[in-house]
Amino acid sequence: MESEPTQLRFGPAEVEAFARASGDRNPLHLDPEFAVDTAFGGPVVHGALVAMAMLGVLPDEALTRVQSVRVLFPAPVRVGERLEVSSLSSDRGWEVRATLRGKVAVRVLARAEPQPAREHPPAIADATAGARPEPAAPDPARLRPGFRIGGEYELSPGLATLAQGYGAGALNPALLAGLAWSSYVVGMEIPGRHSLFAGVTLSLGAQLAPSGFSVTVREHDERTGQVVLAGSVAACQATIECFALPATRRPEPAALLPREPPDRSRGEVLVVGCSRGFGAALALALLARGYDVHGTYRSSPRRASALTALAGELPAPAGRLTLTRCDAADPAALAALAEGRERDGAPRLAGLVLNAALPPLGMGLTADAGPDLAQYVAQSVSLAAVPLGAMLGQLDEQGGFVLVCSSAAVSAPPREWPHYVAAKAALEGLGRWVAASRPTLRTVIVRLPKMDTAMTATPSGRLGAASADAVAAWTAEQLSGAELTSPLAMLEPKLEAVPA
Amino acid sequence: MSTDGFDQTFAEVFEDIFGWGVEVGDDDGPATVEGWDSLAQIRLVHELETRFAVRLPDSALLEEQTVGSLKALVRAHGE
Repeated sequence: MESEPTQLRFGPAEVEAFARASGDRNPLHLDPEFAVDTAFGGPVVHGALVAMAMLGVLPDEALTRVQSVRVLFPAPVRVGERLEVSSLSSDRGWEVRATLRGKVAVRVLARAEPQPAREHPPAIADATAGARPEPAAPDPARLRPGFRIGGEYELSPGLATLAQGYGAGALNPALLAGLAWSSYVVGMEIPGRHSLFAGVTLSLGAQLAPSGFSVTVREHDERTGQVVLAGSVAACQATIECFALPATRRPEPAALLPREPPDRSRGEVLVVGCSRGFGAALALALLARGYDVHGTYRSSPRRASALTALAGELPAPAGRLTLTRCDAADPAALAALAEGRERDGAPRLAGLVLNAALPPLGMGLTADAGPDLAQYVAQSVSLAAVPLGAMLGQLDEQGGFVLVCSSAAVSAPPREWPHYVAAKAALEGLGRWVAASRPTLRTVIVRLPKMDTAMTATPSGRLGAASADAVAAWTAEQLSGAELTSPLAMLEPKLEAVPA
Repeated sequence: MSTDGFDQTFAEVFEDIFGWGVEVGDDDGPATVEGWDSLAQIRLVHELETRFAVRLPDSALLEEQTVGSLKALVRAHGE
């Protein structure tokens, strides 16, 4: 029997309330500056909060019978996104699905019987934990099979209040505690700071002190970071599936140096989107070749000051770095930047790098997701078209370059990224227009490979990824060399993948 | 393991990752199974490796697979 779909949406206040009730204060949920620097591109709602609210769509007579719950988190839900929720009851139990961007983002399977528990492996190391105010830093010892932590997990009365607010007040409090606790374990304890919650099975039947918990690492797969944990809290047994995510790598100035000595007469390049990933590495590689770099960034002052520090490590005589915080899609901000250059009598730009982009989250192309795809493409194009419109008149007409950062995804489209492929193809179209209408400029379209940046700090992302530093050094070498002539060059670097 | 037991374990692993009532044939893959994306495939490979006590090559994680190709990989890498 299938229910009428309802909608759910979680704002910062709901996320904060769940963080307080569960103790899961991972910055992915609460700190926009941290979250924007991940593959998710912004704060993510606690999966356990979404699951709790989804259970709330079931009638009370069903909820009171639930003995076990399996929750799967196939895709992240960002703060403010709207989910379509529908439920289905069968002879197996109750299934609730939440759909977003044409995909099921969260699936909850509730049953009236307990689930057989998996055996706990023998413990090899013990630690005590509970109510940790900051998430654990990455530590391989905490991922080793057999690593066990135990402690007290005090349930806040706020959790029951939250559950009642979503209509899930009739759920057994031990299952509710298990949901909140598993969120706490993944986000704060194992793996902690850089983690992704993929699923949990909760079942009534453990015999522990009312507020005690214990959790042991069962499995850890080093290729993908997958971790399976077995544990229990209060009267609830849990098997938790999660991933330890790679931390974002910083560019290495030593890997970005030129073959020839730097040439300080090259002029200034405007790098749009320069505070992290490929943009940061390319900015440093250009500085190392003697270009002055004016970089813009939108969201992370921490990253911007880190970039300034890295620029200071480049051997002299490197170029000068200037940073401006602005949204590349904001016409007024880019017009002000162009006017400022004119007012100061700045020389014409030697180059413009169009690198600002939105991290793509996987999408399924359904009719409902069509407008989401179109919006992603429009936003992505704005991040290039606005700077291009503001700066085209300021480029050096004799050999100044426009670098359009496209992706190898255009030649080999990943199934889950239709919006990304469409957006990058649109940017290439814009590049071709520049080449045709300004033939004395050098327009360069680079199809960047998968690289070890924040965008790929995901379970599968780093498999087969190239070093962003190596790609940036290669690209800067092409731009500063004599080989690229006007009006148009297409580059597709083929670089060795770096071991993850 | 008998063919029945092999297929039964496969079906259990699929149900674990994709939820109830997912019926798949050997030709099914990311194009036909709702929810079979790169993250699901990683979890699928991990679960198959655990249940069948095998280690599959990185191509099982990275390249698009079908139910049939995963079965062949599990058979080829089992004892």
